[in-house]
Amino acid sequence: MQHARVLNSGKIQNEWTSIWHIQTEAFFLYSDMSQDRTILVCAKETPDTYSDLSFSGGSVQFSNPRPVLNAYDASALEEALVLSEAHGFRVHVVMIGPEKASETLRKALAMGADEATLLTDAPKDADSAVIAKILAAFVEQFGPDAVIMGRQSQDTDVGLAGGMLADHLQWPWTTNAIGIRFEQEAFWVKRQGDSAQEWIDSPMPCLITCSNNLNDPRIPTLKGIMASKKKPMHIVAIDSLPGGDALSTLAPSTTIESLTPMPERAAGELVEGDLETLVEALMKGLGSIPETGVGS
Amino acid sequence: MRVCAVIPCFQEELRSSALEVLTKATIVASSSGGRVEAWLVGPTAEKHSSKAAQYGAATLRVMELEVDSEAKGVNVSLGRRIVDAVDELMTQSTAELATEGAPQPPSLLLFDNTELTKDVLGACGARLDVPVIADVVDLSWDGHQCIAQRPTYASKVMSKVHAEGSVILCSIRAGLFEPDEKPVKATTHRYKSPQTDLLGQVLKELVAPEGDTVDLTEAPIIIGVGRGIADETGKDLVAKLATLIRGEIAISRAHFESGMYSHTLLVGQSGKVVAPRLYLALGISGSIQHVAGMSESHTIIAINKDPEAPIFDLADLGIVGDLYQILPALIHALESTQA
Ligand SMILES: Cc1cc2nc3c(=O)[nH]c(=O)nc-3n(C[C@H](O)[C@H](O)[C@H](O)COP(=O)(O)OP(=O)(O)OC[C@H]3O[C@@H](n4cnc5c(N)ncnc54)[C@H](O)[C@@H]3O)c2cc1C
Repeated sequence: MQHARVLNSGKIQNEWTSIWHIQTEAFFLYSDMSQDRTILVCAKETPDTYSDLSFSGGSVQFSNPRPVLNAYDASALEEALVLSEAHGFRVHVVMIGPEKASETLRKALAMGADEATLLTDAPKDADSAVIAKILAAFVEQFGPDAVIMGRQSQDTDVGLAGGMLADHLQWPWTTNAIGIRFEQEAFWVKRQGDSAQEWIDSPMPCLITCSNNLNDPRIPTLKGIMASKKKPMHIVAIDSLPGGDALSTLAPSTTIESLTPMPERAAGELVEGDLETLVEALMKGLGSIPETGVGS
Repeated sequence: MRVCAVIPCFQEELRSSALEVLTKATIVASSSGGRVEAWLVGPTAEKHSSKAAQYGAATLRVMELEVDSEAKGVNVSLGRRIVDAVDELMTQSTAELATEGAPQPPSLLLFDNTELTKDVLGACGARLDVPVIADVVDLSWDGHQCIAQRPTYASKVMSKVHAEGSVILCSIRAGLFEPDEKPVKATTHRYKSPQTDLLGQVLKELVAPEGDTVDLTEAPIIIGVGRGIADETGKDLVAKLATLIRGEIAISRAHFESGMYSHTLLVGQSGKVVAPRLYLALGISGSIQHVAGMSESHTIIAINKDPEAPIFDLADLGIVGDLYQILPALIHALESTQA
């Protein structure tokens, strides 16, 4: 069995292109995984959608050109790290992305994950369904005790991949977690529902998707950043996963035809002045909406 | 061809989002020449079936589902029950239609966009192995191709998404159009629910803190409370105002940290998406993540002491001033008109 390439980030810049071409015939070996239980965090890199947005030629640009770790996945990772500190899970992060996504993945290691895998050469324009099938192949091979991931990605806001993955695996799942505990060999997840919060108890293995409202992800410390350089990052081409030939040629079932600026709401009237003026304007505004019962 | 409104029925009242989905289904069906079906699943499915016929569904497929004992009367179910139900209804109805001599009809399945749906939509898509488009604000369908509009990048960009196949799933954003009554004579088919293997999962408890009984997506008047409301005095003022203008309270993420309100009330990219008649934003700056959840409101009124606050860029009426002065005066004015 061959080992997948384990990268140390010192090499990343220098040997950027030449070192990636390792074919893994069978799968790869992970360091002493057998002893520990593992949480697998699925993470994605996205554009910095909270920086300023502009359009050019039908595509969207952001003022910050550097991609970021999807905020919801960062919350998932934070939660996995907290569980790991309390219960000794190993935390492994998997990301599907181009080779240079290893920079973003390295941040996950700097936050405290033990190990990471970057799955490269995804089919073009992969949608949630394609991503879920690739992740399912990875999870089946890897065999984690739980998968924790963001409930949606901050760029597309689609939010389907988690449920799709759970169904492929035939694992119990809980979405939109705002709290996670590990007790009596089970994950107790508090999820935010429509009009209540639900405590759902799932045995292992299970899948959880996280709201970003369950924690504030830690910022990597200098020590964390230094340590991350020595942590293993496996670079694996998708076609070397089990069933990989089919995976690497999957066609997306949904495609984006165009992106256009959202029609903006026009700003209305802005009222400044003394208290009387302000209240009068408000009374008039509220009175114009029948449902308020004001002015009827 | 059939357009099927998939309606989880766990509450005593049928949700308005379900009626909106039915209305959308009739619109899509009439432009594509398809029939409208309602798939009602849940403990109150039978009860709501006549209402579905009132809103245009000529075929009613009713499946009584078991309810988790903790979750009576609320929109809550372990997701697998619903995925199994949808899977079963698809198999059974396809088989029936085939024995009626017709080829398997193209099917568009429309869901609402509640947290309950979000929990199951991806799994349903994977189970049926069909395309899924989530959180759609408009769509067209010709029996094979579906073109849908959905907001993306925190609702700053409209994305036009294309899917094709004999079965397609879409969820429809709530609050965007009025449900429209369109009574039809309906035939009802009843189905036995499949035995769901919950894989050891248990719904342990429902936590419904104070205020959690409201369903924001259904409220016509919403008062959005931001960091500008900073203490109990402010909270009391907001509560008084809410009673006077029949509003429900929502919060920005600032109040996740403050702990002053229940988390269920969060509006925005990571909370609920609402489109009420009136959204009254109190001390909310207008971050894109918050705006993503309320920019479709019919009317927006904002009060903020900072004239440069981004919320004013989208407010129909902006009031510049200190909430702690304005709210008592406004409450006084409202009380004197209502006295
Ligand atoms: C991935 C991600 C997802 C997020 N999802 C959401 C979400 O779903 N919903 C959400 O709300 N946020 C969300 N956020 C957080 C968001 O970025 C903002 O931090 C948050 O919305 C700010 O809330 P705010 O407007 O109440 O507070 P601030 O931005 O602090 O604004 C407070 C406003 O109150 C005004 N003010 C203060 N005192 C007074 C006074 N006495 N009288 C009048 N005006 C006053 C100020 O001028 C200011 O404009 C998310 C962030 C991330 C990264």
